[in-house]
Parts: sequence; structure tokens; C-alpha cells
Amino acid sequence: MTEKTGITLTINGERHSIAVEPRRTLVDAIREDCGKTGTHIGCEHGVCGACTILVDGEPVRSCLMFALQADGKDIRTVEGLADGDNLHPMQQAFMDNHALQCGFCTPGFLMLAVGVLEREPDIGDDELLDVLSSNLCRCTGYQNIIKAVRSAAAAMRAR
Amino acid sequence: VDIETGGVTIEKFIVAEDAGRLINPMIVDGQIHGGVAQGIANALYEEIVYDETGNILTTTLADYLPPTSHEIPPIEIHHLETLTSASVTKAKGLGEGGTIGAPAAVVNAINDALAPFGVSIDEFPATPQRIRAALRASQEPRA
Repeated sequence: MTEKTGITLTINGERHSIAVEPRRTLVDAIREDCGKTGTHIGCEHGVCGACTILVDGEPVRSCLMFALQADGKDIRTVEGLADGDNLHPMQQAFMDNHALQCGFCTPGFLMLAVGVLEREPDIGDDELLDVLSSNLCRCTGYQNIIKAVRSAAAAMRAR
Repeated sequence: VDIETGGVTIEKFIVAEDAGRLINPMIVDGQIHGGVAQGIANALYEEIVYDETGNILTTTLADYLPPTSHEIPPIEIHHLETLTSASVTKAKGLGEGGTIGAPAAVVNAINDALAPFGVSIDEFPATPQRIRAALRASQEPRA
């Protein structure tokens, strides 16, 4: 189990050639081996969603995927959302609506919401609530997160 | 309260807090939302459970059960603004108010709904199991 395998993780278009043990989780590889610490680790068993990233466009719990499984796949993390100094509409909506307090769950919520809205731009309010219920937040009581994602959905459709 | 399942749905939550001077109303509302959500969690969902030999049974967040966006209803906030001379900014603390008030408010609402059955819940969280157990006990013929 300790033998390392060479893989390439493509994170936000940037290629990282790293060597990992088979048991290395994707989130550990992203944070420790690639230095991208925007993705947070919460429960480490797939319940809280703080580590949600996009793998080939799909929201994924990166604590439940091995780094080896992501070899050659297109990975997007929160660091890739903004375009230079211009925030992604989802990030802007989170700021405008005070949708974060401590910020720990925020990268996961941002990636979850962006992933789903890119796939289903016209998703209904009820379905959106279903989707957001897959991640946990301890500070906000969800009210402002829901508001932010609904407003970002409108902004993303208008784009 | 769904009498068949013991499930509870909160239709609406209204909260009024006196935080003294509201320095940043947006943050004030955010704190109240979060406090109320934790209070509702306390009232209906979250519990650390041990078995009779002391083994913890709620070892994951899926068992301890923090609420998600589904469980927290829309929260209507009202402000009282009584300035205090105890602080330079005339502001008081806030956030805890929702956490402290919500469990009693929620369980009182449940007990109001259960009143026609002569049943009341006196233990947190008011889970479907506890509500059904209380209803079952009330329906058993008295000896």
C-alpha cells in the first residue's frame, strides 16, 4: 500500500504531476500534493460536503474519491471560479447576500451550486433546495445560501 | 405533527430579538438565522446517543443529524432596538437568542398540536420515535 504511483491531476486547467499512494484521497492530494487549499476537509466521510469539487463537470465529494481515480480527469476547485479579479456570479451572490459566516462550508457550496447550475440552468426552486440539502452549514441557517444561489442562478442564465 | 409517523414540519418561524443598536443589520440577521437553525436542530434532530454499555451510536454527522436546507423553514425576523449603556456602541450580544428560544418554541408548538390527544413531549429532541411512543402510550387502555 505504500508504493507510490505517478499520476497527473489537471486542476483548473493546470497540470500537476504527483506521486501518490493508492489510498491517498483526492482531497488530500489536491491540498497536500498540489497546494490548492481552497477545498476544505470537513467530516472526511462524505456527509458534510465541504470538500465538494467538480470532476468532469460533476459535483464530487473529494474525500470519497481516491486521487488515482482522478488521474487525467478535468478537476475544478474553488480557486478556478473567479476570472482574474472578476468573481464568478456565484461568488458575487454569496458576498451580496451574506451567504457565509465562518466560510468553512463555502467552497463546497459554491462548487456544488455551480456544478448543478451549469448542468441544469433552469432548475426549479424546489429542486435547487433538494440539491443544496446535500451539504451542511452550521452558521447561516441556510436562508442566505438559498437566496444567494437563486440569485446567482438568475445571473448565470442572463450571462 | 403527522400523527401517523410522528414527523414534524415547521410551517413558519417568527423570531424577535433585542440586540441593542444594530451596527450591521445584514450580519445581525445572519446571526439570528444561524442561531434559530441550531435551536431547531436541538429541538428536533441532534442527539448524542450511547448504548447501555457506553458505546456511542451517533458517530457520524449522518447519525447526529444536523439539519440541512430542507429542514430549516423560512425565518421571519423582527428587531427590538433598546440601546444599552453597558457598551460603547450601545449594542448587545445576539445569536444565542435564537438557539435558546427556538427549542422551547418548537416543542411548545408540538405540544399544542398534540394537546387534543392528551400527550406532551418533555425531552429533546422531539424525534418521530418519541412522539409516536407518547401517542401509543396515550392510546393504550388504562388498567
